Amino acid sequence: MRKIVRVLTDSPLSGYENMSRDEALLEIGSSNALLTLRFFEWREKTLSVGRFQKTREIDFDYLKTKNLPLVRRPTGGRAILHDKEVTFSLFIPASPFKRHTFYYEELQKVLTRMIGKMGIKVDEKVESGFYTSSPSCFSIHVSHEIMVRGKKIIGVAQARGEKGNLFQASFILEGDREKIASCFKEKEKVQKELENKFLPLNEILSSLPEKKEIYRLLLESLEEEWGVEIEEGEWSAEELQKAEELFCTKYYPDSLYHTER
Amino acid sequence: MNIPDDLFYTREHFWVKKGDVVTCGITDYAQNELGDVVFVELPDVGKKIKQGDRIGEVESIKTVSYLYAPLSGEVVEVNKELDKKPELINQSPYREGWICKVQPENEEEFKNLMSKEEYEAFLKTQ
Repeated sequence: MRKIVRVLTDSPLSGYENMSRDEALLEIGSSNALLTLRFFEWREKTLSVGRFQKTREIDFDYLKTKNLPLVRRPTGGRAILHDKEVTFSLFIPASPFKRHTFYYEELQKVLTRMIGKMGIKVDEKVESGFYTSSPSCFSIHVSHEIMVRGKKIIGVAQARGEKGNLFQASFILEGDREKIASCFKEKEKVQKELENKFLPLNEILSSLPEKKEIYRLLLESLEEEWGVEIEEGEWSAEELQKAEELFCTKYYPDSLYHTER
Repeated sequence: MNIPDDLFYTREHFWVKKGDVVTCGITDYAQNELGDVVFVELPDVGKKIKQGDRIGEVESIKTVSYLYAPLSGEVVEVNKELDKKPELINQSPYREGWICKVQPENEEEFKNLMSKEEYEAFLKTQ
């Protein structure tokens, strides 16, 4: 049977809307066993935290001063300051208890191929660190990270539900370590970690590709690595309704869901 | 892999120990598949649950997964130790890493659970 990847490309939305839409993908699942790849952008710079991350690590005064919204993701992992980046989510219909690393490994192959197409060699071995030791996603390395020269270049996290698995990924094009670290209470510590463990794309390539070119390379890598066919798609009415419901009940801007932990 | 023969199992990889109040948790297979557990969200004590409902969530490395009720009934106790030591699920899934105790409301639902042998056969299909 043909495996089709439905591609959704959204115009920039708020972090609250973006997370509502991603969780809707996870809750509704894809009809006809479609995989769904969603490219999305952030209407404004936004800090996202992982599903169970404690927000006591966040400097709320700084966020307020800089008008930075905070949104909680449906996926795990640690905080990311979303600014100049390529962001996508991928829904894979799957068994909820399939080996937890299986899809990470599969996605890692796709991303490694995509990065290779940019002329960049991804590290073969990844030293895994202690997961909860830092509030910042790019300050920690765990297994199956995409790393270059010993530093992390893409943040990926996963949520698994009855209908399948949702991945969210951030590929940082330009990253200011000081600004990222400022979002946390332990600024100096996080900045030092980021200097040692994080590498944005503009520090690898002398000229950055357009976002659309990165989208194209990702789709091409998916086709080649997984043998799938790519089709431009649209949101279903059911998915949009679910996203709206999630926005109104869970992800609205002042919702305690974002800060309760 | 450790699959005790005095327990019952669900397709969502929960184990159940029979008694007036049943004790349950996730199996050795599931904890191994999840990897290092770093957070567990437990159900509230007093919560009425239905077999197959989501009753909590667990985060392993960068991955959030749901927990599903093995039986219908009322949650009468949860393992608060998991708040401080979620790794107990990995270290001792059938003992110190238990998740909750439930007062079952429908004995008939035990028929939906698997024996050790049935669970072993089920795992071969995974």
